Amino acid sequence: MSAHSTFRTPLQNLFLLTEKGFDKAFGPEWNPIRQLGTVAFYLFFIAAVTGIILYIFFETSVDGAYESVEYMTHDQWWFSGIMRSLHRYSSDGMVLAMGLHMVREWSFDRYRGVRWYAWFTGVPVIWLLYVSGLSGYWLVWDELAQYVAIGSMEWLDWLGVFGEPVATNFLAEGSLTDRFFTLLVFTHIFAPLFLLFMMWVHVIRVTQPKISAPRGLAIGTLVALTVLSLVYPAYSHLKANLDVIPTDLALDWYYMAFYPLYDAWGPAALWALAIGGSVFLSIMPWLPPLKQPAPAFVTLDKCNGCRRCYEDCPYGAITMVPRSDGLPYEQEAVVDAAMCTRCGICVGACPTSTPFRGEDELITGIDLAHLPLKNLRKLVDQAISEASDGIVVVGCDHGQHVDNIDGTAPVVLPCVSQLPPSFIDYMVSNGAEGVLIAGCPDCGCRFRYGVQWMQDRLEGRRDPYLRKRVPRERIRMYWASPLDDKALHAEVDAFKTDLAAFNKEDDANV
Amino acid sequence: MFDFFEGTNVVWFYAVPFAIFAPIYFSFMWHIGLKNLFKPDLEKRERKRLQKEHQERIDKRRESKAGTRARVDHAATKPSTYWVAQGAIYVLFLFVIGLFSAFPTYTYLGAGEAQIKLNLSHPGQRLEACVKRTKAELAELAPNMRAQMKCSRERSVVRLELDMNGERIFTGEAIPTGLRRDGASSFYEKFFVPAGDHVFTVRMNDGDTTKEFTHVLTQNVTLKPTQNLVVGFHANEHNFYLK
Repeated sequence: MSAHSTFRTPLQNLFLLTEKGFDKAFGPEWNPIRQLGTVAFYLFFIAAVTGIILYIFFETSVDGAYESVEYMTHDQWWFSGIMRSLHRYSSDGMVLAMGLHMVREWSFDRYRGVRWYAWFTGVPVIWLLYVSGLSGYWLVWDELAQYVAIGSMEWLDWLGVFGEPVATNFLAEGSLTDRFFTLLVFTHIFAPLFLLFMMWVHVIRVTQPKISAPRGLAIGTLVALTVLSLVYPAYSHLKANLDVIPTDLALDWYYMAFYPLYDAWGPAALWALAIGGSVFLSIMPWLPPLKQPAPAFVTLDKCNGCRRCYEDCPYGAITMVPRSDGLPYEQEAVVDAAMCTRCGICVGACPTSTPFRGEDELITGIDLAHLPLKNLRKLVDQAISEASDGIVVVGCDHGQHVDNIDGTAPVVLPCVSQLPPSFIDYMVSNGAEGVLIAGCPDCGCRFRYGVQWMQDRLEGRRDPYLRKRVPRERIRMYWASPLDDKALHAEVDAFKTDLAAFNKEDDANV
Repeated sequence: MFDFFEGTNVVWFYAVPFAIFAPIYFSFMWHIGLKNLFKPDLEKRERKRLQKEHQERIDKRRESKAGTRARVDHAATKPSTYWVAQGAIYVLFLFVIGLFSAFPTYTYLGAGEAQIKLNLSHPGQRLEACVKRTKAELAELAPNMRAQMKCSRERSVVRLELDMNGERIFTGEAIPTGLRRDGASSFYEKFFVPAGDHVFTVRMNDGDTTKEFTHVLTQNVTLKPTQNLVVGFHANEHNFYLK
């Protein structure tokens, strides 16, 4: 076991266990652990909307800032006071969601290979989130703002890039001018705009990025944060006074945990930590790089440019370009190796991926080098012959454990969606009693849309469809956590019972 | 009481801009995702309907057959415990958010302590003294460059010391800023000291090699707890101050 796996596997299991528990409370679709990215986006929008509302009532001057915030907090607590608390708690929640999102993606090894881009662009997102959050704390201009602003400026001054130390703007009462304070306000406006831009860059390479939290989760989160804002509203410290040093501070640890470290270690050590940590995070995808098989490839004389692989690829690895081989089609598919995750979803989408051919003709328009269609049919043939109860269980490398289920034989693929629907027809036509597709729950698919596309194809909402002649009673889809082995076994037993009942009914009809 | 709106024309400064910009803003927010909160996702709803129908067909078949048992679907069944558990998780989330948003309290300055901030920005003396140009030298220059004095740009480093009660608490040198070393030398240091009576001596040499220090100030100060004492330098009056 590599050092990577030593740390990663227990964390992964912890996440899976938590997800499994949360599934019972939220259902797979609303499960916040699988929605950490969308929750972070959602919390950003709450912070943005509440921030704009707060700005209406905010006075952008050294003397007026604190009073205006106090007015919002106490006099108008029922509106802008709640907005203030929501603004703070949504920002805190964003740090929490972002941190968990990062650790989760690392523990599931979803930061290397093709995914390096999202990981790499996530690092500036962290910086910008902190700049956005901390600059917001300055604006209250209370003792906490005083502490944070001076600490931040002293830290920046250590770099020596400013002619005179910026911290001198906070030297004594009267040093801070309205002009400089306005600069702080602008920082708090522009940093979140850059943050939003970087969040967009962060997801730009995936197709159909999920940035909207599911409705139920969004409403639940908003209600919960509103309740917190009412029960435990955000308050200010005493008004800042640069002639007096604050003593006890109620730090917001989500944003300010580094300040006590700064006090203890000094600026040089903290810069070393910040820069070193950022550089380390940035190069993590190559420590070591992910070893991958060859990417998907297109066999041009079998590709008719139907665009199904292009539409289904969750990572935008396929582009459609004008035909280059003279065949009478408008376009052809081209795979970008740098974007291909080798999931095989494109193979499952290709209408030429059919097993009803002679072995020499088992060539499809787009295929995986490490598990081509020929080998896939061999796997399926072997499973049909080995399944003593006639049930073939199709699973994936990252989901439920489909091996060693009594009376069944497994077909394990990189993603269940690699299996074209015609293969299910083939299995049932060649003696399989039933086919059970076992994958991850909603939003838990390693390849984002594998489970959804498979379900849509089999239920007739997405090309390629499953032929009508295949009795739907012989197909079962079961999406559950990889830790749900018992439930999977129970599902297989239930499927067997149902199949037996169906066979009896079928015989009676005959 | 804070008179927030006093002296402000509420209609023109708030109501009218709000009436104009709120619909634009709302429309923008609606299109970038707010609609998802209110508008039912038709595709998702249709998928759920089909799944439900599919499940109902399976269940109906099972019910009609003696001995078959109902399938348990965690996602489809939502008993009251579902909502209770969801509520409990939200409470946990709020607890974690609320707790670390203000606790534990951090003590920055110990009881009975004060802070000294040594801060000054002062250009050291020029490394080479200025010389007056002769008429001939001036004539050689372009008309707009005919400055009477010819000065080198580079300045001396500034050396600074601060003693408290006879003990050295800071000594250092600052090089001038700028690529040509022609800017001011800056110091910014802070120290935590016990409150009470102290004697401070601050000394500076800004480049005069004939003297050990060009500027010196000794002063008794009574520091109150949490006080921020600034040790600085008046640029115009060319002397130190403690305040």
